Amino acid sequence: MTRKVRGAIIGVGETPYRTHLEKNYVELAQEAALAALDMAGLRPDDVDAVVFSMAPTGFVGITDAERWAVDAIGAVGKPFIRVHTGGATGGSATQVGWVHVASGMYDVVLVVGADKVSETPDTQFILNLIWDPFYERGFGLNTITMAALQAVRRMELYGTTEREMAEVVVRSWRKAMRNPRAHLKGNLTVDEVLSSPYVSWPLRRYDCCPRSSGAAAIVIASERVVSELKVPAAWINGCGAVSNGVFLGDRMGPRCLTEYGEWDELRLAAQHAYAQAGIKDPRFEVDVAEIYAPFSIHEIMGVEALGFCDAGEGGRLIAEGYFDFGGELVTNPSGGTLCSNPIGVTGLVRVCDAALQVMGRAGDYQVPGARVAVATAAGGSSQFQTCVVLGSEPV
Amino acid sequence: MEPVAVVGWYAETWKGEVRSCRLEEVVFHAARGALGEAGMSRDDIDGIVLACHDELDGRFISSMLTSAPSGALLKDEVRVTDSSLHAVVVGSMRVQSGFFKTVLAVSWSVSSGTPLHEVQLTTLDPFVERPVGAIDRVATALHANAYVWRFGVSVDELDARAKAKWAEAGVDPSLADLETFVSTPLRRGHFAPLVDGVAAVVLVSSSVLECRGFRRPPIWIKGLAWGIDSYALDRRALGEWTVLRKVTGDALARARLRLGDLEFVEVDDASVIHEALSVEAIGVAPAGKGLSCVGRPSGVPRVQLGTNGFRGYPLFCSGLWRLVQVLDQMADGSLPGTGLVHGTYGRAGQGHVALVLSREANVRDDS
Repeated sequence: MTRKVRGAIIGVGETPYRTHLEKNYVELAQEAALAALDMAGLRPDDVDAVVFSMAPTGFVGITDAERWAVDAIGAVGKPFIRVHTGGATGGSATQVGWVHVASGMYDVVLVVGADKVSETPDTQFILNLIWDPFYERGFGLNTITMAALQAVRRMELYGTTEREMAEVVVRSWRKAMRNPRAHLKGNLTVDEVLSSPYVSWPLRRYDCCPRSSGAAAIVIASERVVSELKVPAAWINGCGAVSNGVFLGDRMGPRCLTEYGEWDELRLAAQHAYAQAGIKDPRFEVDVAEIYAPFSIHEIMGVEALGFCDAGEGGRLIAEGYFDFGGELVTNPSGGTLCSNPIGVTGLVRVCDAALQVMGRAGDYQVPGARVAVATAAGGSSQFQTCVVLGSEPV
Repeated sequence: MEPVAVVGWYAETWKGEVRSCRLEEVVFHAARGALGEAGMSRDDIDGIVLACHDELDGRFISSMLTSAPSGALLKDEVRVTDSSLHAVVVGSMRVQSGFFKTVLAVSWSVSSGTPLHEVQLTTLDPFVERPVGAIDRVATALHANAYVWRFGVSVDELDARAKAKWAEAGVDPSLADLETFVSTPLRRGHFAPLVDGVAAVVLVSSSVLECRGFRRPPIWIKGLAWGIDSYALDRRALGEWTVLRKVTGDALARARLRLGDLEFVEVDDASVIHEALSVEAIGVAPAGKGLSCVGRPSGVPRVQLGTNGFRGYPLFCSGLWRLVQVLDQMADGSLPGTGLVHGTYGRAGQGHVALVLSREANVRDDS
């Protein structure tokens, strides 16, 4: 691998994540775009190219809604590409924005997106339509039941317990209290989580993310522009992505290439990203991680796939507070996806929050001294995984 | 820009009712066809870019199904949704970044099973435009109306140009096609007939080319550019495609070529008005004279010498399909050595992509 041009995030913009009846889709995207440009000290005219992060348009109810947003985000007359890899879209869009700069073709690229999931009448109906129409749709597969099957698999493989998953929820909600944009937050107890109703066994209501609306944006700039502007930067030091087949059954059994109860796709994507960033032992070299974990079980799988602990240890270590504020490696200090999930940009939100950490601009949820951050995203049947490594210094 | 080599390609079109393959089989055949043409296997590629459209495919996140058949199993894959040529754009940038050496770009269009009118209605904002029904063909007619009014073009001329396209395609359209209005002044016969299709190309860096041989000499992407116009029709210049003018200029600048260096231009010919507006925006014909080029592959550069959408237009993947037709003909010598391929997408040409191709890798030094 030859790194031709370095790139860094110099602007981050996010709206609050909640229901936004006061703004339409386009206005949300505009708010995030202008906030990101403002942080970078740039104007819309300074942007060379735009990458738009948008997952299924069914949540918004307007096909190709990104084209509707073109005027509001200042993209008229400019290079413009929409990226869509389901829940992984924000991570993939970051990667595509980054190659705009890494290729040497552009100096300033805006990556932006929005979603209106909270106003979607039935999100899980739409998420049922991502599956095979003849078999999987019929037995009610959606993202909740898909994650429940993963949790069952984990229970079988590693003895993961509902209490360990409840610990993830309690800690995420508590961390989210520091984040003014988080959708859900509060001081829950494990017992409260364990007494909430099952949505799909073994996942209870609190094990599941909310349906959030909101928008996010980043400005990626070349090293030349970063030096000219002299602004805080989160350097994109590594970027990896791995796709797998759609079928869950293809990921279970002794002859399978990957295991459905583990995020092998994320492990592989992280290996690529770590290699680019020169990270050899992520346990000691990563300070903070924003893991795309819309269900409690996913954070347990995520810390293992990212190499922060051994397989099967994630649940226990999270419950022991190993990844809390004050630890050597903090996961989801923003509260994470479990507390805010505007699907089409959630991967981008992870990147935003990771970038804020290494820029030292995360406010109340700042991890002191954070220099290396990881952001992930997952989509489809957990088959699309992306991993971005950000640093306060370029490699 | 540093040129990117195309070393393998594959495309096919068919009428929906004729083919019984599932979508994943179609995608698999295309990916394997392009790799086979290059003398490569799945193991040789390190990146994949898919271009497809959920609503046309009939399922949300349709790439969930097709990523593995396209060869992306446990590989770095990303997907774009607006233009099939965006897959080439992203693939080329990946190669140019140095992080990827070999990228496969795949796109498909299976609109024969799609209620196209209903899907296009859902692209419109639900409050104002959806009730009006200003879908792509209606919006295209607004361009056509502005064009014929501004330049005093007779509607008979639109008919004559369409007949020339049909004749060149070897298709005899029905009287109903020729006479039925879609939206004044455009009739059904002014539009290319939709077919299903799939296309794939293999992109490699020059370093890969130095290390291994391929079955045939590569064709080089020397310049590329893309851009989008306003969503709102009243904010666009009707009767002309201003964004394509800029896109063409950027692509030529990256290739360090001038318009006069192009020997052929293959534009998006979804309709006769698409073709006329394209050749004018690219600069091949002056304003108001583009229609005279339609169906007449003459002049310099020569327009639509190698492709004709009226033989069958695979809606979403038409750009990549057109590129593959051109690659085929550049490789066998039936098209000359340097040319431009164009694709458009969105309502009435909201977005455009242009690629400058050459059989030669060398870049002219203007310094």
